[in-house]
Amino acid sequence: MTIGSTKLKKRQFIPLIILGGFIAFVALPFISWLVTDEGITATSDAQFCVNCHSMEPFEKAHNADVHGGNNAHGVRATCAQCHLPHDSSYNYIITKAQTGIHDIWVERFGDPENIDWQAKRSHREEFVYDSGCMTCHTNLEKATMASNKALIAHKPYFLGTIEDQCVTCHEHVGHADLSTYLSQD
Amino acid sequence: MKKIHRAKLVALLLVTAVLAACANKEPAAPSQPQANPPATVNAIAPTPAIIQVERTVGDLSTIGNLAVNRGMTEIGRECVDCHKTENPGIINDWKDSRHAHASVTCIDCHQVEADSPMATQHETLVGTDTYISVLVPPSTCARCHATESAQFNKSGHFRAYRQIIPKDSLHALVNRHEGRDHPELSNAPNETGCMQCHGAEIMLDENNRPTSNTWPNMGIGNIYPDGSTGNCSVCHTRHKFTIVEARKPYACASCHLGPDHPDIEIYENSKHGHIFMTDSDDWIWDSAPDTWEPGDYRAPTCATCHMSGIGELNTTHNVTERLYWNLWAKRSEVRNSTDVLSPLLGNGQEGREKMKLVCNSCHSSLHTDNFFEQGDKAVRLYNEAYYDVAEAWRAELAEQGLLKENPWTDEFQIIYYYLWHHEGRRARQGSMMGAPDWAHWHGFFELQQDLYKLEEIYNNRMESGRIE
Repeated sequence: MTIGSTKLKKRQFIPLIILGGFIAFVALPFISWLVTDEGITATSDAQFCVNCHSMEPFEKAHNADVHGGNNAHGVRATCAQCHLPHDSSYNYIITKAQTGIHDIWVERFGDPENIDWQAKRSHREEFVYDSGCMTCHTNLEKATMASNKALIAHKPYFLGTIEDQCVTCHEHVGHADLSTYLSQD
Repeated sequence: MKKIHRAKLVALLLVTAVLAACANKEPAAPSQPQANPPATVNAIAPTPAIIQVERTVGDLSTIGNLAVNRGMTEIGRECVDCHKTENPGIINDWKDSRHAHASVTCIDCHQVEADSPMATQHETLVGTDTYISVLVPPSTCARCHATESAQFNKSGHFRAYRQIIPKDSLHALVNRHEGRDHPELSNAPNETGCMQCHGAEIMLDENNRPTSNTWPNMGIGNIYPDGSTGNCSVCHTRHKFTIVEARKPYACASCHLGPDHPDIEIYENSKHGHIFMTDSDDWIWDSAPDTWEPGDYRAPTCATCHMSGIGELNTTHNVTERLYWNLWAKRSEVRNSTDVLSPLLGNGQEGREKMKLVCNSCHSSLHTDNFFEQGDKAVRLYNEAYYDVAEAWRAELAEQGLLKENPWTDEFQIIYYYLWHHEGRRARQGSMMGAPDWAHWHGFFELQQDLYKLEEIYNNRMESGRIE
């Protein structure tokens, strides 16, 4: 009986094991990928970021800018495409988590009204990532004399003879007339 | 109605100008005349703005008919089209520049963001989203010349204006003593003197235009409204910006001259200057950066030794990089600081090794080593036998209350100033750059006279216990 009963139980467990395996190795990873990807996408652009009200001038200035879709083709870079590193998924997620927690904390418990946003622009290299720029501007390194301004101006950058980042020179990129929007706020 | 008439008139004038330009087109560009008229007319005709310009000089140049349409944006063409008659000197310079070759036009350097503190619009831009400034800060040059800018930002030139901000005695000299505390005019000596070499913090009026008490100036250490420091056009003057000019000693001479640091006079007194003045007319001045080597020239200029990529050295815009001593200070010390605001900025040992590499391109190492031994001896003699002695007397007189409050009426303090600021620098810089007349007759000879006079005043005051 015991043996028989055990056999019976084993037989009963087989579909459970298959089901369990399906859930563990297929359904859960799929759902978790789905949730993560949806989550990341949903929290990568202005609709989400502007939930923090201190971000409003940045959204307005972004909308007015070439990078915010104000261009002939309507192509738009999302907040996260510039403000998160794109060199590895690990870096992306970790930085997203760190900055996300920091920003929510400051918005909720800090004093966002009295942050000197203008001053922060002087260290823009710390929160705008070249790896993000280069995800879209993939052809810049291949510039030839056909576009000599692109070639000459970016040569030291690609040769590595300078430490400048994209936003060191392109200091207003991404947010048109940001000073004006910040002072309106 | 009036506006429409004016616009029509302007369009008519432009079409006429373009046709005239085509008629005068050089045969060298046969495909251009067909392409030019529609392109230029299209560029201008839809622009609703009205050009209201008071012509002051007329067309003084050969470029009045210049129609240029190569790799330029519409707005870039517009600038050239007006300014070629308004300021032919500017366009004439530009057309000979490497910028023109690379299609870098007025707007590429003069355009600013709408929210820039310097943003302005002249009448043809009103209503557009293009903003410009007459000011071009070094941060603009750095967009293409990033390496050069980064080197400059680590050099002593960076400090040219910033170092005088905290010097109260200097402000007193210029405003109180030279400017006579005049309620309205006391800043004149600064505006016409100091500022033209050292620079200023450029201030803007309510229209975002630079104020006359800070601009125009040719100072190398300007602080611009965007916060960037420097002034590239000091050595590469507007609007040609040529490397040839910056390689000639005159580029440095507009500031490095005169009784207190006669560097151009020292150069002229040296054998290097002698050779330069004898036969530099046919030297090659426009070799690419880092390829300008002996053979292109027979003797070095300031730029050769202090900046050029000679031999195995790389070109640098850090003029401090190849220096050992600080030769302008009251007492010369070996450079040993990484703080860009420190008078001792630089690494003296490394600087000396680099400078020796420069010398060795033309001289044997024995010649080089012995030359620096001679020069170092002179600097040390000044330090130990002149400055230290005079400073000890000055400190003792100060302690005894035997110095006048106004240093510029006190014979001791005046001679003391001449000793380090004029004669002492001439002796040291003359010695280190091979200028015997400046090392000796304008240097050590004057120094011993200064020292004897100081000694006499010191003895008199110490014995009598009062200022004569």
